[in-house]
Amino acid sequence: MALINGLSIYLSNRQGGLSAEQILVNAFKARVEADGGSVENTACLTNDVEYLTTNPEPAAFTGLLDTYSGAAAAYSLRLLSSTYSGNAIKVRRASDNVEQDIGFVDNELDTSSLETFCSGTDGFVTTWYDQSGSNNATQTTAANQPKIVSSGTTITENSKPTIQWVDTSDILTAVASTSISNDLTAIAVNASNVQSSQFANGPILQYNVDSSNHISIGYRYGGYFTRLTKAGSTLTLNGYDFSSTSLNLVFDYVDYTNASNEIYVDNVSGSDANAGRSNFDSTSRIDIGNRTLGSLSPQTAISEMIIYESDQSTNRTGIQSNINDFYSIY
Amino acid sequence: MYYTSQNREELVAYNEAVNSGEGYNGTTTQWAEIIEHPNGADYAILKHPKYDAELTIEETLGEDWFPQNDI
Repeated sequence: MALINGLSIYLSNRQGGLSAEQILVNAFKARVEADGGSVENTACLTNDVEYLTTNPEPAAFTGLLDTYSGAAAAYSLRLLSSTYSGNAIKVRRASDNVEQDIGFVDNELDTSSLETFCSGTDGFVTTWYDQSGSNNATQTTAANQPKIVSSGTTITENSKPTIQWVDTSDILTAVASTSISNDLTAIAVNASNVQSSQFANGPILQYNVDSSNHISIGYRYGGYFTRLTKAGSTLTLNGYDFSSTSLNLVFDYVDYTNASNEIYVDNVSGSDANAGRSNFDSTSRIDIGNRTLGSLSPQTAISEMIIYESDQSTNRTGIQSNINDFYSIY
Repeated sequence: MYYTSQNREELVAYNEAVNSGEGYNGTTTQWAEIIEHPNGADYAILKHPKYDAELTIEETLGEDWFPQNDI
């Protein structure tokens, strides 16, 4: 198709008086005959060329994971990879507890199918599919499932679908590595719910390796925090001090070896040390929107969570631009 | 809204009653988890909007229900 488009432009600059389609037909016919073949039906060929020139292939989709590969887990309500052919989420509707997979249309969540399925009732996420592999984040307990549809309408932030952690017990869980020798980069798109209660602070992501090694990134009343437990010793790393209920883009690179981090919120570097609260157990797991033991969700809305078990700080600007271009955060 | 009890089995029974009534299938397997108070004597479960029980009801659970240990 690219060849035809290019040829069309080239020929249209050379052969005035003929339509682009006719120039292409003539060129194609000449090429076939030069190769020893023949074109039996020129009208048919003209129709084909007309169809191809009036229905060009859309530009190839390039997702964030195509450009920045190697994620350990990637959850989003938009398509992140041109090679991912699965669904975005599995949803349980409150009216009868039937569950259904919801995929993508034009690389975004198929909200039409979602709202048709929920048909005026609430919809809860039972599974957030991993677009980088098969490490899906799930919740089997109904009361702990975050919400995506409210009374038949998709919940949104910045006009894009989002998942709302409504109750303090809401949590989605996947599997983490059982060892950590590398760094961790976590990128989250979330809107925090500023509250004055004890639940105003809690993790948006906990990465638990074992009983002595954890990374917790979360929201507290007054900003974001990062906590690292390495070989049993817990350190409070750089956070970002502010209060906002708007949609945020959080980029947090944790240097596990040197027990340090770089955190950016909406492309601004944070350097304070919010204590935050977290709690772990010995299970290797990724917890989204809550601590491992539950009951401490910051009741945030999360639209995207991408985790690399590597240093992605050199890709930070590009990753942030990719996300911000879609979500219009800052 | 939460139901609380010092008899864990009462809350397990409530959960099972909701599970039976709702007929969860697929990924979802149960209504809610039993929350244990750090004192080891009290338990709670989130109330389902459609199911009532003759148990003590609380608007919310206080901070004393949730462990604060930060490692």
